[in-house]
Amino acid sequence: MNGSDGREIYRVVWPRGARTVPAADVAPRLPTLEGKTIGQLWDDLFRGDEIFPILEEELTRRFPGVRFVRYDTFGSTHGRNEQQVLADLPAMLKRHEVDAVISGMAC
Amino acid sequence: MNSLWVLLPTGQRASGEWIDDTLRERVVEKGLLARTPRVGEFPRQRVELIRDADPVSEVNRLFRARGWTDGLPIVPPTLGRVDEMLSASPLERHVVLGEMEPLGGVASVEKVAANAVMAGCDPPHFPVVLAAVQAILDPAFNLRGVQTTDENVAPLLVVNGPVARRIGVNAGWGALGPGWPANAAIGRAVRLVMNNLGGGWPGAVSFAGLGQPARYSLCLAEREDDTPWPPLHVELGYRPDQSTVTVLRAETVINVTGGLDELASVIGSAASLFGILHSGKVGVIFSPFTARRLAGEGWTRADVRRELFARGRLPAETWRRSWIAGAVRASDWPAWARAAAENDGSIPAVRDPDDITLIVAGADLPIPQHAYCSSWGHPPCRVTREIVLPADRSRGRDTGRDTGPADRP
Amino acid sequence: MLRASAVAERAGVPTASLVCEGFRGQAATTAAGLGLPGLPTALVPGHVDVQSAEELRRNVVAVTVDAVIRNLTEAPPPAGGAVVEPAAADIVFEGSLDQVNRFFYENDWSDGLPIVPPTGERVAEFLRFADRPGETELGVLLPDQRRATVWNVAVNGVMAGCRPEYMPILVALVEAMADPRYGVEHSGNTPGAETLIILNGSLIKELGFNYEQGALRDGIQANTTIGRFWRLYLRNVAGFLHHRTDKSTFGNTWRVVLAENEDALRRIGWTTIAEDEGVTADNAVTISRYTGGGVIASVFGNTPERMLPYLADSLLRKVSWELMFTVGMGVGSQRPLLLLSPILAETLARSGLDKAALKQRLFELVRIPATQFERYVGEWTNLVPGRPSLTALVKAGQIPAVFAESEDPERLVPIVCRAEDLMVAVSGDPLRTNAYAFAHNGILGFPTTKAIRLPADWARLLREARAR
Repeated sequence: MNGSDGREIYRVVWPRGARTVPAADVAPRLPTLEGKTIGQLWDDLFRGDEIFPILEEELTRRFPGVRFVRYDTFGSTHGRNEQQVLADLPAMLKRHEVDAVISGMAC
Repeated sequence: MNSLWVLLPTGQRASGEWIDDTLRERVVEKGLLARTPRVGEFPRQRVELIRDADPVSEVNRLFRARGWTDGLPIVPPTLGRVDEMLSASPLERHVVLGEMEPLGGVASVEKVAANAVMAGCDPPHFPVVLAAVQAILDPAFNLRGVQTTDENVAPLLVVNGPVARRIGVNAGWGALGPGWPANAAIGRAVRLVMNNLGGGWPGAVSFAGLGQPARYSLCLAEREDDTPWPPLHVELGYRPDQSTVTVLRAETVINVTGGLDELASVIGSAASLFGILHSGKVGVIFSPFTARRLAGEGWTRADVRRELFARGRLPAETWRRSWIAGAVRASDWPAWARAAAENDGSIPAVRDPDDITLIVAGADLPIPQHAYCSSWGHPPCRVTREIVLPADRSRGRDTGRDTGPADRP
Repeated sequence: MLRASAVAERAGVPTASLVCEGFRGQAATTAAGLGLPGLPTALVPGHVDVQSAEELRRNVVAVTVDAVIRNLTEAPPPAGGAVVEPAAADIVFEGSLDQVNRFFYENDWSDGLPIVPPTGERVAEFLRFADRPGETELGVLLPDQRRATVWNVAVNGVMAGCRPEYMPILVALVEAMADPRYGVEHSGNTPGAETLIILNGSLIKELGFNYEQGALRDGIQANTTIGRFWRLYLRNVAGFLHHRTDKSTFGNTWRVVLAENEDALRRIGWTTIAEDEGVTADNAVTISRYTGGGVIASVFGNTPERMLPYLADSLLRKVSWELMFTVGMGVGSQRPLLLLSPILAETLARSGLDKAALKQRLFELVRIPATQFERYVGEWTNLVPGRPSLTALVKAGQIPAVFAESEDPERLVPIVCRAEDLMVAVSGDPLRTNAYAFAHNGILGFPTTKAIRLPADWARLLREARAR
């Protein structure tokens, strides 16, 4: 097809693919962290092993009744078994009665 | 046939949705299609190629029909003009400043630049626009509230520091009125960002009953070199050589002719009960003539604020008889207001003299002209952001992060 | 890491995701791709690697703790409705060659080089060479979670400048990309490694791939355009974009397809890469991700005893932080590739070595002092948490005993867990004594092989293509 200036006109299609996952709402939030159980998820990178203890300390100071389930319980979220760890995660969270998760580290 | 490549200035949420789809629903629901007959009709891409014998007019026609203007003609945000605007940016085009409430359009530096082009900004204005957008994204500004309330509040932008003078933000004659390109374009850019990325369309999302002219633009600089007092940003802890934008929520702008007495009287009678309810921070644009006279008598800025605090009071009876006192529980009024009504029979306009933001601006006239801006809404708001220039990138501040006032760590 | 947060949220558990400053942009786009645009993040100021312990503590206490509490207790805005996007065959734009190119580039659909406009007619040409209809789904690709279809493979193939008859290879490549074993979701990670595609089978000659001099260089249409297709597809369908989902520090551009020299392999009785990976189809592609590598020039000698020490040393020199994939993330997933020119392969084979024996010899020779190994994954990079010693890892049963055969800290240890982890390919100028060693990205781009399926009337289609 040629345009008014004689140059060829191309009618082109979209190079992307359809999205499969519609946007969902995140889980409901907690009214407070007091008395809650917080699970830690770690990808074994970027000093999470130093950061998680600091967070534990500070959060316990502000919410004395909070308790933690440490990251080694769940396995690395970015290791060889990543897909298995993620597949098992909902059951694990339930089993340990986890109310909230702190997940790291994206750097 | 001529063509223009333009960057689409409208908002897209992080999820990928375009805010215009929500806007279309609201516009149809409210019967407002006549203003924006082409709402939501645009290619869902980053850029659009406009082909027309007169593309500039065509862009204006399209953008107006799509609801992307403030009613006045805009400068088409061509890719070239956006690139030019970005050459003055301390941040890269894809950096995200935040999501603009209430409809959540992602404010990327690039989209802000497109709106700045539309507003008529020159590239040197852009760092001020960026700082102002960052300021209104601060939770303390309550952008959602400002965009959706039935009240007519507008952001007041005050520019301090060397940048103000370098780019010509007027602090003198008619500083709040038309004729000064920087004042007009910077304020207008912020409004277009609020409209196009936040979706604050009149009647559809913004329910302000009347709005106010300040919603076109409300931006000025403070007089610095020729005033007796240190400027606002220095009072707030910045160094004189830093440049800042300070944003207040101006419920309205009231002109006051006269001196401290007249100003105090207006502050008292125009005290916003909404402002008092939420311990809001008010703005006073102060005549340079009066400033010089008082400074000559030994008054400091703090003295003036204390005086206005002491004398600008609302009679307790007026408060008690107001419709809002009837609508709000007694216990919801802040303790300082209730105590003042009890003990003094009158309520100051603000909780503390520090909550009065004093800006020295306007022409130096012997019949002094001031302006009073009562505050709207919660939480108390006076947000300041440093204006970062592109040269600062070489000093490693590549996030364009506000370093804060000089005396903060 | 955000994938884990997404799983927890969908299980009804609120999360706070710890994000360093430089990653915030990617976090938002990645979260959107996971279908959770409201996923809240808690900022860790700066980059942790360059902070002292005191600085890190100060930053976490000053900023991160509050953000974590907000993430877990403050409700983000609701997600909202559907995104309207073009359907596969919709015409998204009409214009001249220049205009199409500009439109595609400005919409982030192009790599900056001119693309061939993907018209319906050109896409249809490609579809004739597919064995399945256009709407066939080949998989769903992270991070954007978009459908990979035969149709959009063709669209990107057209754009890349491929010929329609390459279509079966393109389809197999995307099947490999979509295989969870490969790990396409890691393709935008910080080290920014790039894939190497290795082709085996009769298609090498049928479609005119270069497998001799300059095998890794651009200039031959088949090798070059398919390499380009790979990255266009990562961009457009997987969704890796600069400054957003791609966080590679430097990155690397696409490599041309490497076709093995199967004549040489047959002559010396060696297996192909595909066969080594367990796929015995007529034609196959293997993808694997390499962090870098380099030429091993002038391999001198006519016996393994004289050639292997240099080859082994060269393999050793290309590897450093990648050792984390041997003992840390994805234990035993590091699979370096040694590419030999035919003359080198033939010389080694002449002395009786087959691939397995060669790998065994290399396994014994490619050795590094234990302390140096530990430095690469511990002191210098902090890539294996807790910086355990190799001895401790062996004691914990996590890595093979070969890593702790004595207590001597200077004992020599291998760079892979088993001889079979090494990969050996043959290509390049048949008469030059050069080799090439590639360092591997472990589970973040694990070798994945797919058989290539040809349409039933391939022979006829090929004849027609040649007659063009």
